[in-house]
Order: sequence, then structure tokens, then C-alpha cells
Amino acid sequence: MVYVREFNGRAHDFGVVGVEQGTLIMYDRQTGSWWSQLVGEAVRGPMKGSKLRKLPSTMTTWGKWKQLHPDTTVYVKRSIPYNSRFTRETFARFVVGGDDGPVEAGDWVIAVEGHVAARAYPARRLAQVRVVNDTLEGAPILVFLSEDFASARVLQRAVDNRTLTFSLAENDQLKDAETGSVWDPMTGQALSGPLKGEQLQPLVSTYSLWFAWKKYRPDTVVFGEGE
Amino acid sequence: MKSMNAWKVLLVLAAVAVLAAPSVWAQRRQRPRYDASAEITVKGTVEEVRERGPEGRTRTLLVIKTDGQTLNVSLGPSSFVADSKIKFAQGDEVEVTGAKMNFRGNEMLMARTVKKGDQTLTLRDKNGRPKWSQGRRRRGGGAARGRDRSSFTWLREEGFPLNLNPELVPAEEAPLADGDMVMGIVHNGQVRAYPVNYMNGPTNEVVNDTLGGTPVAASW
Repeated sequence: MVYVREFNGRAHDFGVVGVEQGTLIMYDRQTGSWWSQLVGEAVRGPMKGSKLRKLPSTMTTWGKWKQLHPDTTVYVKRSIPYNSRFTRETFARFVVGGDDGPVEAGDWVIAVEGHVAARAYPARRLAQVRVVNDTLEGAPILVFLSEDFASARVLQRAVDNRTLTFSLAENDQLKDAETGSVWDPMTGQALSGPLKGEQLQPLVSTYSLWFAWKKYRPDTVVFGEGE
Repeated sequence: MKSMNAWKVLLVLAAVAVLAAPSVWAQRRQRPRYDASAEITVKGTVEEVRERGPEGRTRTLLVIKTDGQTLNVSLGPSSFVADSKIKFAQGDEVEVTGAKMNFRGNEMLMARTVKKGDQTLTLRDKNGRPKWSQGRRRRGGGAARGRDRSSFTWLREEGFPLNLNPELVPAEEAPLADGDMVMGIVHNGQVRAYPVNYMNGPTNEVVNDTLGGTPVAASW
């Protein structure tokens, strides 16, 4: 995830303290406060209780990202010899593998928070349907998992207050039932049809292991397990 | 430093627990990957049945003769093969479907199914996932799931060194393969990709950057 690290016009520098009860703990150099990476909140120190603002980001493959954004810059760290160990296959295997059954501690979920409600979509359930038309606090949302299981997107599925219902289309795209327009879920843009050029807004979502997310938001409603 | 090495091992486990995807440090043994696009089916005769590996944890390998050539076919753990009750012996006619691959310089076939007469031994599903680890998965501890690390704690009071002043390159200079996972973000018109393979380990996990004029901390 990507957090804003600016407070009152001043940039704070973040590093790693370690792991507490299975969740990554960060610190900031300026105040020495400790922050939970999953929750985005300071848990110790002068800034305890302060929240980090999360920006929407996407886990995807380099090939797909490069195609969407040829103008992208890339973070590199030349002191580390680069090798392609973590690929879409690794991701698909770890995130999506597993049998059917109730969500377990070790399951990967894609979690979304509204103002008060929280929803989690187990990756292995998403892999079976790949598109979910859902509602969160009355707002229609779309959850999508790409064919290769490597990219997930959570978007608002409304344009000008008009709710759209999506189904899978060719080429890892989506089609809405209301107008038949074809959409690219990675950009959220309609590529053809009456709504061509329209844009769905992405929502902030988090990949997490279920046990960690459940500890943070025990009130989370899990997709596929009723209300 | 001793504590640094211990940290490395434990952070690997922690990383699996909390981050968007597990650190590759968790995969300490290099296992050949099953490439479903390299799948073929061959018919041949069993020349030899071999067991390789440490006592009690051997793997079974068939050496088969097909079309005048000798091919090594890797089945899987010997215990799993034995449990199937299908026996292989020299002279058996078999039909093997599997992925051809090169492991440590040797070409071999990783079997998905082996047919002998009217019996079929299934070793992997069509994605190449081994059948022998699926039992563990059901009990919640298998390779394809994360682990419940909720009791794990390892903290370094003084914190690890910061990752500052990130190097950035244009797309064409990035040493990435198309299938590598990245964390992509567009902010205030600026686009950036953070490759997961650069972000393993306590000094690499968090990147302090500025994007679209906003100071950001990227981590996964």
C-alpha cells in the first residue's frame, strides 16, 4: 500500500521496527512513533492515534502496468541484484490457492472499508467468479480479479449516479448490462459503447491475510458468507 | 550480525503474514515450477523405477524409453506414489502427461498424470499444483495459504535503517520481466511502479518517495 507521509506540511521518513502479533510495525524518524502498516495508525509514541491517509494503488504485473502506463517511472534499488522471483504465478499460487470452505486465518482477502462498514473478499472465492457486483453502505461497488489472478480492482460501479451491473467480457474486460458498454477494469474506463470515455472511480482496498484483517476489523462482512 | 540473521529468518515468516504477498525468502528451497504451457503427453516403457533423496523422504522417478529416447519422469514423494496403490515396474507401458523442464541442468518431465493400463495416477491438478500438498491445505497449513502469525512478534527497538532518496528510472530501463509483480500507483498525474522484488527485507520494505508532489511511503 501507499500512504501519505506528510503531516502539517512536513514529510516524515518511515522505516521498519519489526513485527508485532503478525503485523508489520513501522516507525517515523521525526517523532519515533510506531505505526501499524495494516491499520495505518500510530500505535505508540507522540503521534499515537494519528492516522495515515492511504492512496489507491494496484498490485499487478509489470507487463500489464507498462501497457497501461508507458510513461511510468520505476523504483529501483541497484544495490540489490534484481531477480524475477516474485511473479504472477507465485502470486496466483499463494493468493488464490485452496479448497472451498469457510474463510480461514491463512486466507488472503481483498478488504474494503466504507465509513463504518468493512467487507472482505477471499481471493480464492473471487477467483471462481472474478467479478462481483456488490453494495457497501448503499454505494454500488465492483470487485474484479483478472484472468491470471494477478490483478484485483475495487471500483465504484456508478456513473452520474447511475448504477451499472457488470459481467465478464473477452480480453479480461467487463461489460455493463445497462448499456452494453465495454470497460477496462484496470483503468476503470469504458472503451466502447454508449458510455465510452466514462470513468469508474477506484476505491482503496487492501490485500491482507484474514487473521490480521479480522483482528483489525472483527466486524468485517465476508463475501460469500452471508450478512 | 547474529541478530540480523535471526531477524531475516523471522521477518520472512512475518512478511508472509501481513504483507500483500509473501516474501520470496519464504521459499528457501528452490523447487522447479510446473509450467502448464510446456505440457506434453508421451507414451513409453518403464526402464527403471528410482527413488531419490533423504531416507524417509524420497521422491519417485521413472526412467522411461520413448521413441528411442530415454526420459526422466518425476512423479513426486514416494509415500504419495505408494499410497496410490499403483505399482510401476520395468517393462510397464505407460502414458505420461506432464511439463517438460530443465532442473539443475537436466531435462526431465514433471508428471501430472501417469496412465498404466486402466489405472491413472494423478500427481498434479491442471495448474500444476501437487496433489500431495492439498491434504495439508485443507488443514489450513498448506503451501497455497498464508499462516496464522498472530502470535509472532519480533521488534528491533532502534528500528532498521531508512530507505530514502529512491532511484527512479523510465520504463525501458527497468530490469523487470513482464510477469513480475509490481505495486502501481497514479497520483496527481504522476505514475510509478514499485517492484515487489526490490522490497524484501526490513531495510527495503518501506520506500520513502515523493509522487505528484506528495511525500509517500510505499510498502507491501
